Amino acid sequence: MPEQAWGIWSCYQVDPNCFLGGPMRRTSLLVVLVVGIGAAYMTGCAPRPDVTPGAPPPTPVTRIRSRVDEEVDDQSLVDLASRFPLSAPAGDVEVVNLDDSQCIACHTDKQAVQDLAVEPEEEEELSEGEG
Amino acid sequence: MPPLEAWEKVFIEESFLAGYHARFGCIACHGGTGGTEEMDVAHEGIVHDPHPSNSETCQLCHAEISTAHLDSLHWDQQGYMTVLSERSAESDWDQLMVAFDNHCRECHASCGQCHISRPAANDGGLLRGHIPQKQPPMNDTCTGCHGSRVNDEYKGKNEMDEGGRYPADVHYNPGGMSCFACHTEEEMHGTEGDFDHRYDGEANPSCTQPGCHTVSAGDDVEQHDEVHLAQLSCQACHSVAYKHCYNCHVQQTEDGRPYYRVDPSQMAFKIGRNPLQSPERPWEYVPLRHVPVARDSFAYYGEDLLFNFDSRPTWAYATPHTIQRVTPQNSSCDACHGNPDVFLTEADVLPEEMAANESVIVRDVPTLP
Repeated sequence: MPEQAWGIWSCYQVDPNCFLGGPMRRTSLLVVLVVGIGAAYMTGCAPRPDVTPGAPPPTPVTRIRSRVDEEVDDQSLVDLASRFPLSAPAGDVEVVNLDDSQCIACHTDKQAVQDLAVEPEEEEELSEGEG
Repeated sequence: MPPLEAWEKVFIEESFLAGYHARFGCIACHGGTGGTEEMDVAHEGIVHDPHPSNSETCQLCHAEISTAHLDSLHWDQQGYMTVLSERSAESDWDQLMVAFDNHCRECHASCGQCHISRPAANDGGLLRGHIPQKQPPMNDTCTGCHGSRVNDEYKGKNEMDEGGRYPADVHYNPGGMSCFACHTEEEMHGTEGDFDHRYDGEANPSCTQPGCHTVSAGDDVEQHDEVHLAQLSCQACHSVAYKHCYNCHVQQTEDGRPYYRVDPSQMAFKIGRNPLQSPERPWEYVPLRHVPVARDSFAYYGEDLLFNFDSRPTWAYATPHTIQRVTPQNSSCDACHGNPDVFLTEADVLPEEMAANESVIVRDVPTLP
């Protein structure tokens, strides 16, 4: 076994973490440095050719069709509703009023329910016998 | 149960508003119209008793229970369907269902009719100001429907002909047990399975289920020998007289109001042959109760709607809620053996029901060996 390799092995035998500060560390740093410089050159550090950007396409505008179908003259506008599998919400969606403050105000007011609740009309009991 | 005044039925305790269920708001469960002070407008489209299958009410959080409940006997009334279909012909079914809708359909329990309000069959009315009751108060819910038989038997309210009252079931007095001590939430909610009848499947509840009675041949009760335990249900020895009903007829007034007429009930104790003998209910003898049906119970709605009336006994399998440790029939050997009074004999059966009860009549009253 070469002396250096024996040195690495004996180092490892004594302390498995010895690579961090021993001969292995020097070799690793060198490899990382070379690879890093190569990668930087290939991905952007090289000088760029002159490029003139073109005009961007028109920005899509969301347009939901209303119930009253209007002709869309401006063809530059993209009707995004057509891209979705579900129909776009209609303009006349029923809005439920969930404000129950009046329900609570009345039904927790004993006097109010006593005043407003109406006893059902007494009906003659027609059934006979135990149910 | 004492009736509620109209306002008591709809009055909401403020403490309800602090609870979790109030977070959803009134309209989320009951519909109606919000943001108005006009009572009539506010109540437009209101749903008093949300349906268990409504995904926006009970289902939202209690999905497993409310889904199972749709197949429970308390909701789908399959017990009625089972006996009616057996006693009728298929061609008459639609007409029979007209009668059922008018007279029987109301007797089922939604989630709310146990946990929020009294049952609709008892004219409803909020329990405890709309505060949900995890365990329903039995006197406002269970016995509101199961009143004339179960309630009166269990609490000892039935009067003897000779004066006084039959004793309350020992589980109630002195036991102090509510319905739910035996009838579990799993049974009530139908999470144990979809059954055709309340005596379908395992005997549940059972006297010998874990935590209740340990009974075996050779225990310290003399009559608990192998023969008695194999041939007699617990109730055959340990229940006393219970209620029998006869001759129920349903009809309507000219303006469509449904009503019924049933003969006065009778108290009696009758052991008969087990009409439901099976591995789950292996006993040869069980108490039998006369159910109120008659051959012409639905005659108002059509002729002979119970075409197959004889296909099912009118003396039905029973588990009376009149349990006593010592009963007239177990007080001595002679009190039962050779005593026709405690057995269902031909003399107890109406002539027109003889064919229906052929299989449950005791022909030879057991004598002492």
